[in-house]
Amino acid sequence: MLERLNSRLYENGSFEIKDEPFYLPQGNEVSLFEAAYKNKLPVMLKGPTGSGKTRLVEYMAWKLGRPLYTVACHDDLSGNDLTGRYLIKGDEVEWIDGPLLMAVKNGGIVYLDEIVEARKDTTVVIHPLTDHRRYLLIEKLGKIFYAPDDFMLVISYNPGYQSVLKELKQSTRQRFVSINFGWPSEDLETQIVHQETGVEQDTAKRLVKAANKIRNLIHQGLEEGVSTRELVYAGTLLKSGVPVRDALYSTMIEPLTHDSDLKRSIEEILKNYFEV
Amino acid sequence: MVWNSTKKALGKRKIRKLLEVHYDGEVPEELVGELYPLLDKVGYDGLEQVAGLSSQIARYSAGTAVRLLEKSPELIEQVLTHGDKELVMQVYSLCRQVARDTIFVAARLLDESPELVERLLKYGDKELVKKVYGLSSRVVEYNLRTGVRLLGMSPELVDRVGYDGLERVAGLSSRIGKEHSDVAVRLIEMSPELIDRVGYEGLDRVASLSSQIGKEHSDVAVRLIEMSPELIDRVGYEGLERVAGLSIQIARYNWRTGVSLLGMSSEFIDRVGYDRLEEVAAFCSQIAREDSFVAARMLDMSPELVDRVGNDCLERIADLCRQVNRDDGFIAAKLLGGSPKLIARLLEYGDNEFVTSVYGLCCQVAEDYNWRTAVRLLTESPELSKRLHKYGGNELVKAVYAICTQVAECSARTAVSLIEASPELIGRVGYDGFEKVAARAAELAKLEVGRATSFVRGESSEYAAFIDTIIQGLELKKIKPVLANYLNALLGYRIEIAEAQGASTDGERIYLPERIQEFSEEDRNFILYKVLATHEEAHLEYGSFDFELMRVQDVVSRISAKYGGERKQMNGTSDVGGFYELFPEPTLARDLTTVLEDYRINSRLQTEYPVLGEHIVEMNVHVVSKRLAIAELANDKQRAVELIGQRLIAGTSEEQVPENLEQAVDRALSISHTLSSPNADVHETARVAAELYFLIEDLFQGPYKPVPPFSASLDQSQVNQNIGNFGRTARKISEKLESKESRTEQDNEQMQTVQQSTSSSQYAASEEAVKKLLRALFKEKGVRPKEVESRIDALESSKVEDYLSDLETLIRAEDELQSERDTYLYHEWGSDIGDYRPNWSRIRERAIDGGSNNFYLDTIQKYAGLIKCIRREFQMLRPEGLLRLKRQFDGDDIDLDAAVQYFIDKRLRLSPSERNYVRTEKRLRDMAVAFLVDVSGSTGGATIACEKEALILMSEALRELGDSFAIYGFSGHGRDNVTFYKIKDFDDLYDERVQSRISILTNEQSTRIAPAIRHTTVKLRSREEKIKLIILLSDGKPLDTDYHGDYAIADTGMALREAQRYGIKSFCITVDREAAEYLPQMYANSRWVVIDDVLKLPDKITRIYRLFTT
Repeated sequence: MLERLNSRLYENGSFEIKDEPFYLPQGNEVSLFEAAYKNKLPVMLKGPTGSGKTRLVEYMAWKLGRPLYTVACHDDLSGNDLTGRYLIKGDEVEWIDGPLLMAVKNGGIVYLDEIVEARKDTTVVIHPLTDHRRYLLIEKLGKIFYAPDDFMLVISYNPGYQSVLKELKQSTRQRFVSINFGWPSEDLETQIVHQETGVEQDTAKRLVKAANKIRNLIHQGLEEGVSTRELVYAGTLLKSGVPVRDALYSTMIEPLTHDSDLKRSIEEILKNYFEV
Repeated sequence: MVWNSTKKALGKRKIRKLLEVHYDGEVPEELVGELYPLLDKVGYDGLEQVAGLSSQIARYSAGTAVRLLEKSPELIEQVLTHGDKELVMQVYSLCRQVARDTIFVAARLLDESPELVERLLKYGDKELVKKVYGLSSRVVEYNLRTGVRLLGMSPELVDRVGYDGLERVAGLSSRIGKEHSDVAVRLIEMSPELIDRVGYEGLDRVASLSSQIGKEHSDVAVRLIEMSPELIDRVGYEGLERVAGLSIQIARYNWRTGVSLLGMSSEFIDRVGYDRLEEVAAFCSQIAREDSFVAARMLDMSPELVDRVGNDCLERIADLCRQVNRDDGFIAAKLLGGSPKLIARLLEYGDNEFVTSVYGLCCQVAEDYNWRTAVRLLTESPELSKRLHKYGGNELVKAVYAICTQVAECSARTAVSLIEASPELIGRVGYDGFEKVAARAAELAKLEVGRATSFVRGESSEYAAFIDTIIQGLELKKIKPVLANYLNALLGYRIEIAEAQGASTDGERIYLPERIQEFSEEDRNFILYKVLATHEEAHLEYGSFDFELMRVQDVVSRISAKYGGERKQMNGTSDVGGFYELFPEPTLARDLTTVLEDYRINSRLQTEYPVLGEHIVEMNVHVVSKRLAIAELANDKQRAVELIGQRLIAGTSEEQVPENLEQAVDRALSISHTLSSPNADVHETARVAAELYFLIEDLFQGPYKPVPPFSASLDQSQVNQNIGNFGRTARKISEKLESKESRTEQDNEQMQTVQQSTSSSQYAASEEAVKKLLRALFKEKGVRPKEVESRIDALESSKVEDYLSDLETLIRAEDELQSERDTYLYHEWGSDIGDYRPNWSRIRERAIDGGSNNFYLDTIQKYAGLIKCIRREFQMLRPEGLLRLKRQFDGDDIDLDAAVQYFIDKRLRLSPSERNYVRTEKRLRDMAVAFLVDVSGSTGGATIACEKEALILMSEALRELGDSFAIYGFSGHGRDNVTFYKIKDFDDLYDERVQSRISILTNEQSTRIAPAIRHTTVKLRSREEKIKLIILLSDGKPLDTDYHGDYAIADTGMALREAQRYGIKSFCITVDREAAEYLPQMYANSRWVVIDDVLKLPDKITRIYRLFTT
């Protein structure tokens, strides 16, 4: 435990994004994000898995030149994990900052990925940070930390995700500027796949076309469609010489469903575009 | 003079004296006056007779006597004109003779006598008349009726056979008449005809025969006499005797049957000869020994049956009827009555032998299994034969029955299932496959009948595996789910797949052949399926059905110019149809358009799907290779179309073609080339079609005969009817928008610029945009263009824009379907289509309120002891709530005890523990349970009461335990009306209100379980608890309007499976003892228990719950 907490992950310097991440805007999301940052408004990114939410945040962090604290939320993540806690160190107890407190102290962007997954008490922690108050209350320290102007809270949220349980409360949702992510348009997505992976334009186009057809099956058996990320993976595998069949199966069929009929259907769609 | 008057006075006195005997009072003077003249004619003795008769009659009816008396002068006068006094005497004496028995007959006889005499006189003198009267009077001595009838018939008889004949008849009949007057009378009546035909000798013999038979049964004898002329004509006297013998034999068992045998015998012999009659009679008499009812009915039916089927068959029919009749005479009678019709229908599919085998099978089934099944099988058999006939004519039908008869020897039950499944089976696996299935079934039947039967019905897994091994080609059924998803993905919305002869579409369904066996490899068969399906889908996707005549005005005017003005006004036909009609040879136009549109679609698909494109070509080459040789076609026109089709579709045609054709085809192909561009639409196809039409028309003569179609021609009217026309609707919308625009321009010219910039709508500019919106609308929300179109037609142009933006928001809106408050739509699994029916059932949530909680109080009291026990048990199950886990490696807080120990250890230089943190964990029973209670009509009586008691006990227990729970009831009527009672929601407290709601629950309508399960699933899914559970309390089979049997069971099973998919467990408690049969199927995806006695339910439910949840 100690080892993990001491690792580089929590060191400030490494939170900066040094190289420009590849990002092609789908619409006005970049300017919207920038405006929110300037006006100190929290942002909520909505959209299906693999549609580029995380990539946008990275890109914006780079663009705005702020460190990025990414927390991937899970169902055991409590408020303490965000704010920090006391640890025993030698003869002393020492307070260790959590990522949220770190960002509040130093400024920067906190990105809570899939916030709905976290325990409910996390929302209590972030609420004061999302409105005009902009402070973080740490009870154990008995202190209130005011966020600097360059602090920004970003959460991501996938509305079609898994279960109704994982629904974000109205009161939480309404505190954020919401940026909606859909699938990129065909040309844009082709461009993304092409540039990210280096596969030929034509292959990229076929991948995207097939993906769009498969996405028609959402709610008809598929929980989620093929994400751009999966397409990029597919492209990467193809580029690195993995046989077409394996590359496509492992990225565009298997991750999507276990239903054998559905798998076969998707396979047939892919077969329309690729020799497999 | 004086003498005369003296004599008169004397005579009158005498008459008065004579009459005084008969009259109580004074004899009327007038009567005496009237009778007096008779004195001269008939004398005193004559008058005495008259008076005697009158007195005889007067005993019974004075009126009649007086009337007769008054009439007698006239009567006697009449008789005297023909005869003499003696005759009068005879008449009167005969009448008196008769009057001893019956005065009415006597009176009639007297009345009729002048006429009779007159008639007799035609054939002889008065001596004859006297003789006849004498004869009759002698016969009357033997038998009155016979005598009277003889007299009545006498003129006729005398005419035909003379007095001698009459005498002989009289002799015969009087002999018979002594015992059987009916027979004798009938004999007399028939005698002229008989004598005519067979002479006296024959008459004699008939008479003696009938008198003999009459001894046993007079009715039979009467009938025999009636039938005898006809029968003797046909089979001679000998035959008659034999028939009579048969009849009397049968009559011994049942006289009616005997009579009816005689009645129909002549017709019967006419049809099939005497021998058959004898056979049938022998056969019927045999049946009659066991079952006279069936025998009689059988005989009645036999004329109709006998020339259709042989004895064997009759025997089987009788056999079957006998078996049925043991239980149910009504059905047996119906069966027999219906048999000629049934046999007639069966004979359409085979000969006598076939019919016999059908009946034979049914007999066997009746004998070995049960007669009801046999009767069902019999009534089904014409329909079955008809269905079988489609697959291979009469031969096949016969063979199938033969096989099933063989199987029936092993197990009748299996045979029934086999034959009932046979059409479908043969459709799937062909006759050879059927034979194999039958052989396998017979083998299994030897081991275990039940197994064989379920095998044949296709219910066992063994079956599926077996079928797979014998199947030929690829079945649509097998790949339907895959293709359905595939098409859904390509098209963007759900489209049904249905079976049909060839591939086509009507907008709602894509029709594909039931089976494809073009290739020996399954893969290639599948590819053909895929190519066909994709082609049909592409027609929909790429707008083949958006054709509008008014968009090809240029072509239309060219065609009109060429072939003369306005052609027929088409009404009701589609635009495409109208387009064909523009040409002198619409079929040529149709075939060209179809081929060209296919070409356009294929080209489009090839660009869209590079690999599929290759498959398309490959398959088309195969299809083309199977077409007729060019040389075999009728004329050059036809050949040209065929060649163009082959080249366009497959890209090749290997045959050597004459020069002129080759050139024409080349030109046609180069014209068609524009269609391979992805921008070409269906209107372009029409233009090209017109070009080609002109080309062919110019080059070749003769009428065009349609070539066998390459693919189904477009059924635009059907598609437009089903979903509408995207193109037309889009055009209408943009026209309306434009018209609005231009009007505003006119109205406010000064504001023109402002208008242009502000209100110029985003749609007006491009029809394409509207079309896109419409397609999106259809894809996402299932709103059809035809619905939009009808709205648009009704709207004013100024409102169109608002409507469009409404539509647009509709696409974006998230929950359009649940707009109606408290109603929810759910899919339903259609086992018949192998797919979900979207939004097929509607849940209406309803809260129940009010009412007293008496039932609750009663129950609490009734089960007071049990409740105490239950509470204690469940309290023990209850966990402590939040749990602080000490000495953890990781946690929210420091564990002080551990920390102190840590520092102590360190000071002591011991290795300190690292487990110094405290973590809080929830240790709740993290469980949400929904009780779903069937309150349908079938739960009447004890069931509903027990369900309610069980709910109350359960609630008490759960209150102790702390599991969150909900109680829902469901019932309903029809799929639009599934009522869902919220008795207790998860968040409701278990309080008096809930208790009173449980108390007032009553049983209601039908049971449509699946939507209720789906709705409960949704409710449970929004719960945070880890374990989620549905407990279903029901009384058996789901049943609703159009919702029953396997369909309902499959849907319910599917709903439970869906719940399982969301991690919701289900437990079904059923109180239907006889239900066990279908339960495993329905509850395949959940646990279940059957409680055989509903009264035990309250007692058991808490135990079940405890076992299931701990």
